[in-house]
Amino acid sequence: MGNWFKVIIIGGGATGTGILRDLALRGVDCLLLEKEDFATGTSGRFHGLLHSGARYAVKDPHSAEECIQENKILKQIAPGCVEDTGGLFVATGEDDLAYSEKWLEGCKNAGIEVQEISPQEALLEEPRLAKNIKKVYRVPDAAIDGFRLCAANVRSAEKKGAQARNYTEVIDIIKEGNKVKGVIAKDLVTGKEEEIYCDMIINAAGAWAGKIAAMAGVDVNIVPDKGVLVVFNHRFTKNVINRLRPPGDGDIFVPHGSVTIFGTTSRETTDPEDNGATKEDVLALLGEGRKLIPDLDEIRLIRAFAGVRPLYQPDGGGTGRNATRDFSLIDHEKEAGITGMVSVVGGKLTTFRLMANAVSDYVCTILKIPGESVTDQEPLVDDFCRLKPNSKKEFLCQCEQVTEDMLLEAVEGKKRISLSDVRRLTRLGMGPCQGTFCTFRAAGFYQKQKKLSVSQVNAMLEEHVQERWKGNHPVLWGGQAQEAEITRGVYLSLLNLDKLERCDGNV
Amino acid sequence: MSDNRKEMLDFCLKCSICHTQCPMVAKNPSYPGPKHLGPEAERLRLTGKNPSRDEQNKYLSYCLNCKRCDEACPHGVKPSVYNVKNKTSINNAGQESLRDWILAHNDWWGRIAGKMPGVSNFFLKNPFIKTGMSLLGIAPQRSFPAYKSKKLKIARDTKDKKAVYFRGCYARSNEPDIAQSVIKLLEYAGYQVEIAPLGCCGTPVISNGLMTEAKKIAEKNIQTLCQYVEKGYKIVSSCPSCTLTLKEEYDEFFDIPGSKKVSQSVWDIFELLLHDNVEFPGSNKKFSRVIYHVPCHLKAQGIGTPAANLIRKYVVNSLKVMDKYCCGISGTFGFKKEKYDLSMKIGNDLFEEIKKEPYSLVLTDCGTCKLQIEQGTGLHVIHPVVILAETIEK
Ligand SMILES: Cc1cc2nc3c(=O)[nH]c(=O)nc-3n(C[C@H](O)[C@H](O)[C@H](O)COP(=O)(O)OP(=O)(O)OC[C@H]3O[C@@H](n4cnc5c(N)ncnc54)[C@H](O)[C@@H]3O)c2cc1C
Ligand code: SF4
Ligand code: SF4
Repeated sequence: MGNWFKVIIIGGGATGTGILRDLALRGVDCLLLEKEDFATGTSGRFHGLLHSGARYAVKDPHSAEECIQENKILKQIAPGCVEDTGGLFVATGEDDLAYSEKWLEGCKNAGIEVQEISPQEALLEEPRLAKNIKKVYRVPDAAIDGFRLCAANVRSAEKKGAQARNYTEVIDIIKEGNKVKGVIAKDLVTGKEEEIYCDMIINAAGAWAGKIAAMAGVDVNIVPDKGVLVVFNHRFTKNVINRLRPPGDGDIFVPHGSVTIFGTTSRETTDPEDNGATKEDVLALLGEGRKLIPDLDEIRLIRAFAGVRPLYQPDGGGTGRNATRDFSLIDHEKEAGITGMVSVVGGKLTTFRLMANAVSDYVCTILKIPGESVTDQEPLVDDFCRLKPNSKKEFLCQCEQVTEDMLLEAVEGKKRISLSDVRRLTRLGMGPCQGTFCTFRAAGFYQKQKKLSVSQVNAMLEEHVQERWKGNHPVLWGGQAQEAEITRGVYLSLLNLDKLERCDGNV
Repeated sequence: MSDNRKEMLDFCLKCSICHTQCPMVAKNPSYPGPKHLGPEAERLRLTGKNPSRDEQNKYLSYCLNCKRCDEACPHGVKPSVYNVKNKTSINNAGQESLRDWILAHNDWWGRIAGKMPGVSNFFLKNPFIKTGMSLLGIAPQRSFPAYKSKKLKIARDTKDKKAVYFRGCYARSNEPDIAQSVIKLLEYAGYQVEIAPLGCCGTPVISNGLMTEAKKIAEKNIQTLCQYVEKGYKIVSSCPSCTLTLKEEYDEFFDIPGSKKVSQSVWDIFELLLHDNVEFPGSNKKFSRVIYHVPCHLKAQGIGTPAANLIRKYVVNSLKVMDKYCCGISGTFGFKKEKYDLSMKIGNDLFEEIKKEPYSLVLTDCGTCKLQIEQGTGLHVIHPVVILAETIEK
C-alpha cells in the first residue's frame, strides 16, 4: 500500500532522521516527512559542536553524561560528519576560578576526560588566545556537520528501504475519535495533498512540535529560544574554544570545516521561523568574543544566522539557559488519552542518536515490534558529495572547492533543484564570496545538464542570492561589505537579476 | 608576519583580477592561478585536511614568482607571497630536489667556474655533460650562460657621495662588463664606489623553496650591508631581482634586525642616476629602433622604467618599451627539463614582438631574461648600463 506506513516521522532534523535510521535498521516500514529540505530547521542552524558534555557539567549533569557517551559513539560511527578537533576550556582574567572547581568535579562525575594544560602551552597551541588566561583544560569536544549528518541518516535509512520526502508538509492529522490514524501531507513542489495512514506518528518537529501536537488536539509546550551565531572567514584556532564560566552568551568558538562559528545568544521568541540575526546581536557577541580572542575584529566575518532551540517546558519550568537540555518523550496516550502518536522534544544535536534510540524502543514496544537498536554500532553512510582526490573537473565553487561531479551527485534523484539544497551537501557558496561567483556558474551548469528553462534558472539564481544576502547583511562592514558590492555589481548590474523573467512567466 | 598573512587572506574579494595578469594561467590552463593557489588555498590549508592539497601543491613549483598578481590585486593581497612560502612544503621527488638544489646554487658554481672559465664553458657545451644534466632533470636544450672573469677597475679616491655595489651572481660570474659599466656610471655620477664582498642575494634559493638557507643568506647580506648604510653608503644594484629581494623580499619573508634600514637604502642603478639628475654627454644618439624588455622584478619595484628614461634621452632615437610580457624563464624555472617547453611558450609573445621588426638593439636589465630572449630569438641582448656607460667613454 503506497499510502500506509507502519510509522510516520514528522520533521527532518537530526532527531527525525535519526529515528528514521533507527527504525529502518530494525526493519520497520517507515516514512519521514519534512516541509523543507533535511536539516533546514535547527539542525542546520546550530553551532556545529559535538559536545563533550563539559559545558553542562555543573548545571545539567545528566545531559553531560549523555553527551560524552554520544560524543564517543559518533566519533566512531560518523567519521565523515565529525572532525575531532579537541576542545579547550579557558578561564580568562575576569572569570571566577571558584567555578572551575565545581566544573572539574562535574566533569569527573559525568566521566568526561579533562586534562589541565598550562596557559603557556595553550598559547603555543592557540596563539590567538588572550594573554591573560588563567586556567586551561583539554576536553574531547569536536565539530559536527549537521547538514551532512541529517543527509547521512536519510541515506542510511533509505538503504534499508525506508522513505523520506522533503518539501512535504504535514498540514493536518487524521484522527478517528481518540485515535490518530495518519496525516494529510502537502507536496510543496506540486501543491498536491495526500492522505497517508500509519499505526504510529512520531512528532520530531523540533521547535514546531507544538504546532504538530495542536493538529492532533494535544498540548506540547515548546518555548522557542533563539540563538545567534556568526561565521568567520577562516579557522584561527585548532581546538574548539570554550570559556570556563557558567554557560552564557558568546563563549564558544568552533573551528568548523573551513570557517569558524562563534556564538551564541539565548533569547525567548514566539516563532520557530524567527531565524534572522541583527547587527546588534553580532556586535554584542563580538564584545564577549574579544575577551577570549582579542584581535577578533581583524578577522573577516562572512555571515550571521540564528537557530531556534526547541526547549520543552512541561509545566512552568525554566526558560532559556535555565531550561533543561535533556530530552523528553511524550506519550499522548498517557498525557491526554490520544493513541497513535508520541512527541520527542528538547535535547541537543549531540544526543540525537540517543533520543532516536529511546523513541524507537518506546514505539516498538507499543507496536510489539521485536529487536533492538543497532545505531551505535552501524557506521553511517556519510561519504558522499566530497571532493575526490583525483577529480579532474574544474571547481565551480572555488572558495570551497566544489566540482561538477559533486554538483551532479548532490541532485541525484531530487525532484527539484535548489542551490540552497546543493549548498548544504557540498558547501557551495559558503566561502568568503558567499555565492557571488559560484551561483551563476552552478546555475549555468545545471541549466545545461538538466535542460532547465530560462525562468527556472532565473528563479534558482534569485533564491540563492537572496538566501546568501540574508546572512550577509548583519555583518556588512570591512571585507564583507566590499564583497557585497561585488555581488551587487554582478547580479544587479551585469545580470539585471531583479528584472529577469520569473517562473510564473512575469517579467 | 604570519598574522599579517592571514589578514591578506581575508582581504581577497575573489574578483580574479590577478588571474588576468598571470602569465602561467595564460599559457597553462591547468594552473590554478594566483587567487586559488594563494589566499583561497591558504584558507583551506588552515583546515589541516584538504583532500586536494597535494594536487594543489604540485602547482606551486609552477609559479614564476613574477609578482604580476601582486601588482594587479586592487585589494592589497600578495598571492605570490603565499606561493613562495608554501613551496617549502612541497615534497619533491629526490632527483628533482637535487636538481633544484643544484640550480638554486648557481652562485657556487659561478664562483668555481669563474676561476677557470675556459674549462667550464667547454664543459657546459660538451654533449656528454649535457646528457648528464638531462638525467638530473636539467633541460638539455637550454644554453647556459658562459662564465667570464675580469679584473674590475675602480678609482681609489675618496668622495662625499658613497655607493656600495651589490653585483649579484650574473654580473660577477657571467658578464663582468655589466659590473664595470655600473662602476663607471657611478663614478661619473660622483660616487666613491666599493663592491660589496657578498655573493648571491638569495632569489634562486627562495624561489626553490629553500627558506632556511635563504634566511641565512639574508642575515649575512643584511649584516654586511647595514654596516655600509651606517657609514652613509647607498646600496646599488643592476640586477632587478637582487634589487627587489634587497628592497622587499627579506622584509616580506624574514624578521631580521636591520632589514628595514637596508631596504630603504637600496637603489636600482638607473633609479639613482635619475634621482641625482646626472647628465650624460652623448647628444649624438647612436642607435635607432631599439626594444627594451622590462623584467618582471623591475616592474614589481614600482619605480617605473628609469633605464628607459635615460636610454631614450641619451642613447637611442626610438625606443620601444615592452612591459607587457614575462619572458618565462623565471630564474631557474626555465632550466628545469619538465618546465622548459612551458617556459618558452610563455616567452613566445615577447619573442614574437622582438622579431617583428629589425631592431638594432635588444635591451634588458636581467641576466636570466637576457638568456631567455637570446634563446627564443637568436638575437644578442645587452644590459642598458653597458650602452649608457659607452656614452662617457674617455
Ligand atoms: C543557536 C543554537 C546553537 C546550538 N548549538 C548546538 C551545538 O553546538 N551542539 C548541539 O549538540 N546542539 C546544539 N543546538 C541544539 C540543536 O541544534 C537542536 O537541539 C537540534 O538540532 C534539534 O533537532 P531536531 O531534529 O529536534 O529539530 P529540527 O532540526 O528543527 O528539525 C525539525 C524539523 O521539522 C520540520 N517541520 C516543522 N513543521 C513541519 C511540518 N508541519 N511538516 C513537516 N516538517 C515540519 C522543520 O522544517 C524542521 O526541519 C543548538 C541550537 C541552537 C538554536
Ligand atoms: S607570481 Fe606570477 S606566475 Fe605566480 S601566481 Fe603570480 S602572476 Fe602567476
Ligand atoms: S586580485 Fe586580489 S582580491 Fe582579486 S582575487 Fe586576486 S588576490 Fe583576491
